[in-house]
Amino acid sequence: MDLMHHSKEEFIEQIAAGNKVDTGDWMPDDYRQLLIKQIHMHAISEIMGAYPEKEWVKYAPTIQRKLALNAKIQDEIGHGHMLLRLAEDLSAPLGRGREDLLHDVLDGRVKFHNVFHMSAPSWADAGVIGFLVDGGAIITQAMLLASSYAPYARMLKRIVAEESFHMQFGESVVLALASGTEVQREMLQQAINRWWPAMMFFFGPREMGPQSQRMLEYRIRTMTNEELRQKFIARYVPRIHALGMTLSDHELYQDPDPPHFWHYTDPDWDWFNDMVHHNTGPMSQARLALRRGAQEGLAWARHAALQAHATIDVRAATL
Amino acid sequence: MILLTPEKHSALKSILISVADDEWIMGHRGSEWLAEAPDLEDDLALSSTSQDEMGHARLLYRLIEELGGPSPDHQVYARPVDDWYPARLVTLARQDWAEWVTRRYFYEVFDAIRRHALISIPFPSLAYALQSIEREEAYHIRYIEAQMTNLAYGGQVAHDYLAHGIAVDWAFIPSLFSWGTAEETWQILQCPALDPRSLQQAFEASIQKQFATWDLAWPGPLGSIDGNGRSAAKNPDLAQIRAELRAVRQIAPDSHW
Repeated sequence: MDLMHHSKEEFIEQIAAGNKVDTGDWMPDDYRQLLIKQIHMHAISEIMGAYPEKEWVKYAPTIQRKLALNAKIQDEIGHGHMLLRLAEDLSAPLGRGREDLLHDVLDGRVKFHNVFHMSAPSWADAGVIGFLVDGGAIITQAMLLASSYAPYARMLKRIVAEESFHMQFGESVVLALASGTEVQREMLQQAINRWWPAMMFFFGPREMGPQSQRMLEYRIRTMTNEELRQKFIARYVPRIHALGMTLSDHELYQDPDPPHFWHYTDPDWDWFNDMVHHNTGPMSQARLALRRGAQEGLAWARHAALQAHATIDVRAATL
Repeated sequence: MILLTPEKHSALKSILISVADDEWIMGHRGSEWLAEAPDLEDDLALSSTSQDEMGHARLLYRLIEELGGPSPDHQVYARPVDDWYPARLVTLARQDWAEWVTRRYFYEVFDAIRRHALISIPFPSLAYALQSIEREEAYHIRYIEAQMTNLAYGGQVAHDYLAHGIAVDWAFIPSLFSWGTAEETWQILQCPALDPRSLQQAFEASIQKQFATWDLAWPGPLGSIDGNGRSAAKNPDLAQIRAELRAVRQIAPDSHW
C-alpha cells in the first residue's frame, strides 16, 4: 500500500477498497496495536497449545499415532515461531523483542485460547483437540486469510494447510475410537462432552467488544464471533452425530427458516473469561509452569549460545 | 530376501533389536522435551530428531519382521519387558537440559560408529535402511555438536551444567557397547567392527579428539564393558517406559486406535 500522506482517513479508505498493508508500510498506531494484540495472542496460543497434546505423546497407542502427534506439536511450535517473528517485526518500533513477547505470557500480559487451559485427561482428548479445536481454528484462520495485513494473511496460508492435517489426525483418532470397543466409545463421548462448551466460548462473546469491532473496521478480521461460531456448529453437529456420538446441549437446535440460525446453551462466560484473563483454568498454572521452565529455567542455555558464538568469533579473529 | 544360515539369521535379529530399541527409546525420551527446550528453534530441531529416531526404529523393527519377527507395533506395545535390549544410558529418566545434550551427543557419536560397523553385515535390506538413516543422522550429529559447543564455550554456568551432564552419563556409557543377547553375535556375523571392544575404542578416540577441541577435561577411563548394560532386569527405568507405552493401548489391546 503506497500512502503519500500517511493519514488515517486515507489508510481506512485504502483498506475499504481492498488494498493490503505490507511489511514496512506506514500504519496508524492503533492498527499496529491491534495487529500486535491479535498476532501475539495467536502465536502464544500456538505455543501453549503444544502442552495438552504433549501430555499424550508418551502414551500414544500406535507408532504411527506417536509420530503424527509429535509432528503435530512440532507444527504448532513452528506456527508460534513464525507468528512471533511477525509480532517481533511489528513490535520493533516499540522496542520489544522475542524475549519480551515470550515472557508476557508468564506475566499474564498476553492471553491464550481458553481451550489450552483445559485438562485433557484421556487419549480421546488428544483426538478431540485435533477434531474440534483445530477444526475451530481452521474456521477462524480461514477468515483471517482475507486480513488487511498481508504478511499475516500470507503466513496463514501455510498455517491453515498444516492445520488441516492436524484436523485429519484428530478425525482419524476419533473415527478409530468411535468404531472401537464400548470403552473407547465412552472415552470419546466423555471427551466431546468436555470440549463442546469450551468450543462455544472459543469464538468469543455474542456481542463483540470495541477492539474486535475495530479489527473488523480495519479488516484485520472479516467475520463476527457469532458468524464463526455458527459456521462451526453447522459443520460439527452433523459430524458428531455421524460418529454415533451425542451432544449434551439440550438447547441445541437449528431454526428451520433462513438464515437457519443455530441456538445453543451459552457457555459459562464468567468462568471461561476468568480462566483466560487470570489463568485460573484447570491446567493454566501447570502449563505455564512448563513454559516458565523453558523460558526462565533455561535462559542460561540461550545466554550460553550467544556467549559461545561471541567467544568463537573472538578466537577466529585472533588466529 | 537373502538366505542366511539359521545361526546368522538369529544373530542379525538380536543385533537389530538392540539398535532399534536404542533408537525408539531415544525418540521416546526426546519427546519428553517437546515445548520445553530453551528456544523455539531448539524445539523444532528436537522434535525433528525425536521423530527421526522413532522412524529409524520402525524401519529396523520392519527389518526384523522381514526376518520373521513380529510387527513393529507388536515390538513396541506387546513385547515382554525382558525381551527389550536398549542400553541403560538411553533409558535414564529425564534429568536436566545439559544432561539431555550430553546424552544425545554420546549416543550420536556411538550410533555413527555402530552404523559404520553395521554396513559390513551382508544383508541388502539393512544396507538400504542404513543409507536412508544416514541422511538424517548426519544432521543430528551436526546439531548436537553445535549444542555441545554452546555449552563448552557458553560461560561458567553452562560449563558447570555441561560438566555435570558428562559426569552423570559417563558411568552409563559402557552400556552402549554390549549387544544385549549373546555377546558373540558379532562373531557369528563375521563382523569384527561390531566387537564391543572395537566399538569402545573407536568411541573413545572420537570423544577424546572432540573434548580436546572444546577444552574439556577428560573424565577418566570408561568403565569396563557392561555385559548387563542392556539387561532389562538390571534397568529400573525400562519397566516404567514400557508401562507408559502401553498405558492407552492396553485399555483395548486388540482394537484399532
